[in-house]
Amino acid sequence: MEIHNTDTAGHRDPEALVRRRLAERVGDEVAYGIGVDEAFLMVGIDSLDLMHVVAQLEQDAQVQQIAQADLWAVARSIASLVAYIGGGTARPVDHAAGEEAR
Amino acid sequence: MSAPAGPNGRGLLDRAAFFGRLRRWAAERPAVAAVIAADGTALSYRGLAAAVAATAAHLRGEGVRPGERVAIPTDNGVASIVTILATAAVGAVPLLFDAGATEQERAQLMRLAETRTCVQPLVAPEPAAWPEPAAPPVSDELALVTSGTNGLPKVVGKHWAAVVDNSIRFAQVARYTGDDRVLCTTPLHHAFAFGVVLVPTLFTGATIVLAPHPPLPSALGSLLAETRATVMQSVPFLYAAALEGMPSHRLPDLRLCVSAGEPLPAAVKAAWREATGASLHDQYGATELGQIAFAAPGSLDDTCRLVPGVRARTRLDGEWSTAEGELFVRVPGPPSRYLGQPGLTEQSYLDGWFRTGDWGTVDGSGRVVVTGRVSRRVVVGGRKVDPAEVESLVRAMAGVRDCVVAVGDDAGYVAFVVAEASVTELGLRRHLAALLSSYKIPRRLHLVAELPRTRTGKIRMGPLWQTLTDRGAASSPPASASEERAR
Repeated sequence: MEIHNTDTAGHRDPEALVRRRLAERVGDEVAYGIGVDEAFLMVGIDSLDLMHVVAQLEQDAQVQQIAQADLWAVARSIASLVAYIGGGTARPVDHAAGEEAR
Repeated sequence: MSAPAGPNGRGLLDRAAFFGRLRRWAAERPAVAAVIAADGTALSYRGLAAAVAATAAHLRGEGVRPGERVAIPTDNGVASIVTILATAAVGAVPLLFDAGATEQERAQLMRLAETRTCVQPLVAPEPAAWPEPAAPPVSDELALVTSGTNGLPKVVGKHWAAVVDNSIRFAQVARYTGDDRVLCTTPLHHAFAFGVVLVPTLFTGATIVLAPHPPLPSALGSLLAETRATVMQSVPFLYAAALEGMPSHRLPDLRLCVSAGEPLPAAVKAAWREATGASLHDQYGATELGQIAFAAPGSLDDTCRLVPGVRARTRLDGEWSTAEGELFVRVPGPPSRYLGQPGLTEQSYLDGWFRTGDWGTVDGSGRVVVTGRVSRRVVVGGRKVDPAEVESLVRAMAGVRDCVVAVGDDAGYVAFVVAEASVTELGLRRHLAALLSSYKIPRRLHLVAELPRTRTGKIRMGPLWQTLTDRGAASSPPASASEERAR
């Protein structure tokens, strides 16, 4: 993840931004009820919806360089998305766990 | 085993011919890359032939026997390709399924296939000689999984001769050459990737480039540029999503992009051409048949025409017709069948013609236009979902009284659920996630007081969609028509 050149573009609460964008796809109850480290896989969020969320976040946070080609490497959980847009130093992200995802 | 005859009486190329070609490339073009994966692993043709031989010997040592069905949890990695080919090389029947399938899904399809053998993808390290051909009679099948419409998945038994013949003919009209690098962005266990990438690319001596699945759309432009892919295989949704990050990429090597799984919107096609310089070509296929029709490069117009060897006709009101109707198709080679569901196989054929479940037209020039779908099957981002499977699992949850899933113009793929007050949308999702692959789980599960019905018991969808409008739920970004549709 270190090779991202990210800028959260004034979003002082990246987790709130991530949850808001997720809510636009899957609704408030899921987006605000899911744990920060809970795998999206465990609540059955489809990769198609996550692709939309990531694309929106990339625009919001002006992600300049894409580090990986694997969706699950960046969109495994709320925490991993926060890390992807540059606000993730406070929370650990288990990269290896992405291999469990589908 | 003699090769089955095609419609013109000639023998079809089969599994043996496919492996013969693979070994020929290993001898004639040993250093050419056969497979390159996104994680950096790669195999030359010499390396692939050696890996298949070694893994085949390993499988034989583990007790895998000719004719035996071997379930393989498949991902878009080199080891999956090696294991599929090694299983076939020993004369066994590879049964490809999603490596991300839930335990329930895996158990169900293995039950249908009547097998207890499941092999994780591997590349065996010990060198071995190429396996001796299995003595006849040995099954010449492979098996792919697709969604059904009766609550059960379909495990489709296909003959290698039918697959190889269809794949080669597709490669001919798509003008594959040994210099091509074919980027695969959809799951290898689907017929689309198997028939458009795996078989024709290796038969041609070209290079397979495996994108991870699911890919990060914004990374696809870089992947195309870095791998200098000449052919891309994907679905309309991914082409549209990848366009977001495409303008900065110059892709002079890219010559052909194949799209299937759902209708290709004209706007996506035009934007893709504008951004990459490469043209997008629509393809119509089915797991049971392979590539049915293709808008081949260099053809008179950009509509789908029957792939050589494939025949199609329509049926309307119980009669064969020349007008719009249900599409029936025949491909050369032995017909496919549904393992564990012989009655369903019988229902799927009429006088040897396969009932596609699609509605459309076919004219004298072989032009095929698909206009709709006869059954309830839903398509989500190119992936097929059986509503009956989803509804039955939702209804089985404690506190749930009724459920219907549907695709709305604005709301996308959603469920309406009648349940006790203790049931929540998040709770429903956690319950379903343990049983179903994520793509089968509706984007929203709306809790409603009742499912309004007609006097004959049919659910009235109008009031349910109105409920969403009243709630303002439809104010969330609508799913585009190319993502989710009932076909």
